[in-house]
Amino acid sequence: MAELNVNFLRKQILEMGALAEKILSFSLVSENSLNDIFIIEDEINRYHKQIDDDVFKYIALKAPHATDLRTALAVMKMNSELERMGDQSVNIKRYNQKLTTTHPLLDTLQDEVLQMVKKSLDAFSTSNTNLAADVIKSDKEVNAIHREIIREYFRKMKEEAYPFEEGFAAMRVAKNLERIGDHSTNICEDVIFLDSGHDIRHNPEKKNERV
Amino acid sequence: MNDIALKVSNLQAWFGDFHAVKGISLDYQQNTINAIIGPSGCGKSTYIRCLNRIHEEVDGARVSGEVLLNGQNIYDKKMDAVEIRRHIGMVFQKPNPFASMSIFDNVVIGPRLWGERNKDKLEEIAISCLKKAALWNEVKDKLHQDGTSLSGGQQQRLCIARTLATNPPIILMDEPTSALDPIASAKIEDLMTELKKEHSVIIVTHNMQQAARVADNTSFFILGELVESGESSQIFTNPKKKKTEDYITGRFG
Amino acid sequence: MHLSSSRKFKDRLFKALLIASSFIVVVPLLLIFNFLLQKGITSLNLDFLLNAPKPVGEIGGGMKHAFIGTIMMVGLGALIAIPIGTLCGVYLSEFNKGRIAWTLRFTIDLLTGVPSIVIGIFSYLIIVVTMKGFSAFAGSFALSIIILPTVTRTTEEILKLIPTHIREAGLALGLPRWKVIYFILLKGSRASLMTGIILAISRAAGETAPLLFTAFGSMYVSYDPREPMASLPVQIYNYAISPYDDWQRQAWAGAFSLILLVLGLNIFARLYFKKNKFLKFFIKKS
Repeated sequence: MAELNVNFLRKQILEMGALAEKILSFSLVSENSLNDIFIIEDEINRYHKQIDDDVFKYIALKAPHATDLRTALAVMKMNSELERMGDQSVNIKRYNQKLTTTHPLLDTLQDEVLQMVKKSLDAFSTSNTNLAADVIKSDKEVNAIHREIIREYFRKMKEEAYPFEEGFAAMRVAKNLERIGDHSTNICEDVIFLDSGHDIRHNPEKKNERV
Repeated sequence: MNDIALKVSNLQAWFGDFHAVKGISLDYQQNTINAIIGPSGCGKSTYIRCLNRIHEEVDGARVSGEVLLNGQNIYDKKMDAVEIRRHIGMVFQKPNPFASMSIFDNVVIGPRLWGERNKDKLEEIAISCLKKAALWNEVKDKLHQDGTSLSGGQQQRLCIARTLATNPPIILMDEPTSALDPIASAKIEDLMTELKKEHSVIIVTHNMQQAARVADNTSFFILGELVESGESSQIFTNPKKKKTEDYITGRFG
Repeated sequence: MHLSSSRKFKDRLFKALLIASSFIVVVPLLLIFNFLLQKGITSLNLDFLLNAPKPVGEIGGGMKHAFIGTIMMVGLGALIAIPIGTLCGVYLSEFNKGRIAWTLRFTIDLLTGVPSIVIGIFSYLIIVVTMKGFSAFAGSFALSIIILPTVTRTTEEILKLIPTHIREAGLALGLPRWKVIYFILLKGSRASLMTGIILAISRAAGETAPLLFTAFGSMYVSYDPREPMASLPVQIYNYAISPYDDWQRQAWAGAFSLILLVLGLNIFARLYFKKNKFLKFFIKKS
């Protein structure tokens, strides 16, 4: 049995994070089948359960304090975010399969969100709160792109008789991407909490600050 | 699945009329650390002292039941208690290096008194045991100083080194860190984790946190009875018995 | 306010009383020593120390025979008493239950109270009558009875001070009880035990009465335990009650030597084995 300590928990969550990145990128390209995605999702869910159990045992047995305690709690929260990301990626794949064309805004959104996910995991890995702050800021932009996409497709379906199924699918893809963006933002808030002990959630001024 | 290092069956112990240990059965796996916790007077010290037959040295003490080491019952009429204790070592609550004896002499006293005369062999034993006890670096230049000249934590590690000299497969520890400061205690805990690679450790502790930190398995005693025993990760996250839960959450004891 | 100063006064008065008592105890010893010093030091010369007595009436000679006698008889007595006494002390400390222990302790306590002259008479009956003559051996026998109870008590007290878990630690190493007792308990307290033994010996060195009935005394240097032998206390007595001035002078020298011997043994016992504590005593004072 591996030694139950913070480094082990960090290692576990980063492995899960790598899987989250992988499942997102797989869901955005057509080469992979839905089945491939399911395999990765199973793996993510295994990590989900294991990490929760590990953190629980770690806190019960080792009675950690200070940074160790904040790390353990951050890992538990990130666990939840990454598992949701996995779910959303599965949804993205489902809807992506129905799309025959794409839209430049969708491409932009995909790229942005992929970046957010990668950066948020980097920020955790290297305890880089500046990077975390950047990701949190970019969430605004991602939300804006999402709203734009919804408006665009709405217009297309209304005015140009765009096929309803495709339009709906495209909007769902955008929605799921936006949610993944949110989860990355949450992860970055946890990184900032871990590093500084400050809870910046629901605090617009703090969110704009660079640490 | 590890082998069983020590198997206790229906162990009972008395001090005169007082029934201190009331029928405890436990299996101890090889290379594990096993903690015994419970409120004061719950019989945990008496229990552990039955495992190396020290309990019977007290006037009016009586034991029944079986303790199997390598399949042999140490309480069998044919077994020699003195011989048994070479295979089941014990570390006590108060560090007790022997007086008027150097650090070196303290460590090797066991082998020496059983007849080991070879100086090189004794030196080898001393060095290896002191290293295992994480004390070598601190005493290598003063092996001939009196054992009592060391600090409390060092003395306790000296006592551990002394116990290791017999290379016992089982090491019993009766509240080994109660008399030490937190830093010295932490060193002993790290040491235990090292020791379990080659020995099996059974430790009585009144400090639950210590049991949680260090022990693979934890047993909970009340008034001489075993309430619950299992992996520490289960006992401290999800105990099966309410009494265990109450004790661990500090609601009594 | 009133109460406090009255209490302070009482405190000071009490303390003064304690200090006065200490002086009362120390002063006689100093006086004795000083008295003997003045009376005896002039006679304490090499002639006195290294020569046997001269024939009656002649000036000079010494107490070589008495020194040898004291050393031999005390030595022999100690040789008998120390092992037996230590074993008894061990028994009382380590196996302290049952009738044997109770009887032993009772006997030892009685022995400490028996007057040394009675011990002398007893030794006379046992040894002198049987051997049909006075002998140094009888003297040693008497001295051993005097030394024995003290050694037993000291050993028992010292061993009892050792906490139980030390014994258990020894047993826990897989050592039989006798090895724990000998190699750990006795060897570990050898400093204190030696101190006790030396103190017991120094007491025996000054005993006069028992030697009168056993070794009887002699004017000749002898190394034969089967023959009567001189000893310092007896010799002092014999010379002191004699009508000869020179002998009385030598008696003072003898008395002074005896007190030097006893004090010396005491100081040695306390100093040698407890060097550190002794030094600390002086450092604190200054």
